[in-house]
Amino acid sequence: MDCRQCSDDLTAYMDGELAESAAQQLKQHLEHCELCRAEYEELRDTATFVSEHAADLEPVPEIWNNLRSRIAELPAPAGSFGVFRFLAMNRWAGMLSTVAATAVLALGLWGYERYEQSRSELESYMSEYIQMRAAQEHQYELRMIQERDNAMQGAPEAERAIDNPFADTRPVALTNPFHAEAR
Amino acid sequence: MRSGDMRSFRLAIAGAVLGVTLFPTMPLLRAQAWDLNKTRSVAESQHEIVMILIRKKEFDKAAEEANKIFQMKWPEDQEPILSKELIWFAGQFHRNRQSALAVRLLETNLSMFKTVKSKVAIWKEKGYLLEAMGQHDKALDCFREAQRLEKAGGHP
Repeated sequence: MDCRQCSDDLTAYMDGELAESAAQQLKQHLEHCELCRAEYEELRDTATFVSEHAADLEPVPEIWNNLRSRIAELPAPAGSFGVFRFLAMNRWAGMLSTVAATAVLALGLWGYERYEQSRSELESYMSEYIQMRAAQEHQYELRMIQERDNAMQGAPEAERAIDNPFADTRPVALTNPFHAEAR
Repeated sequence: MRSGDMRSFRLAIAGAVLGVTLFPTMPLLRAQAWDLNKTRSVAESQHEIVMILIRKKEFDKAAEEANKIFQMKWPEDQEPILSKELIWFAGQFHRNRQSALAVRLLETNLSMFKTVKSKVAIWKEKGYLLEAMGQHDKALDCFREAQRLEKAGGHP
């Protein structure tokens, strides 16, 4: 055992809280180490003094009364007369506050849950339409490519396109809902 | 008077009453039909003008011309065709990378639509365009409005 460990265990040794083997080792160390022995004796003397004079150190009841009345006279720190003092004075208020806080928390969680649910519904509603539109756009692109190919192969539409600077135009009736053929 | 004559007489009276009742409304009905045909014919030309302007990349002008179609006097039963037209133009602007203009076109003309179905279709298209423009929150707002209208109007 070294001096540091001895110093750490000294109080426990004095109180009889050390295991037997550890107590034996410490005792042997004290026999050989003068410094540790001095520390041990100092501690032992202090403990003896305290136990002999414990009765003198016990405060009389008047001291406690005096102390309480002086605490009561002290001004309350700013803001302390609020919830905490109120709760200290009224235990029902404390319980009610706890119930109210729990209810608010539960309401908040419920609201959040509903918000998340409606948001996820909305997201799926939105993605449904966006997917449908994306498919429409794809179809439109394919139709454009087809019409361009037809025009290049001399299909009837190409005749219109010869003098037409907008070569990728489509038949009027196809896109114009007001055209007589489309009505 | 024989019973056959009596029946003919009654039929003649009924025909005369019907004729007298309907005759004054005939020119009105004819005028309304003529007006609608004329409006549709103007809209047809207007549509072609818009398409040409889009192809010529004159987008602001195209939007102006497109607005004219929706500012014309239309009977209520023409709303489906008009909403289809509005969404078609918006799509054309979007394909030409003019999504902001497409959104503006929808916003400008939304107020002339009265049926839930048309409004829902326009709000959804606006949301689609905004989503394509990367404005997710605004797009969500549009779809929320469309959903609200559907629920309020009982439209699926």
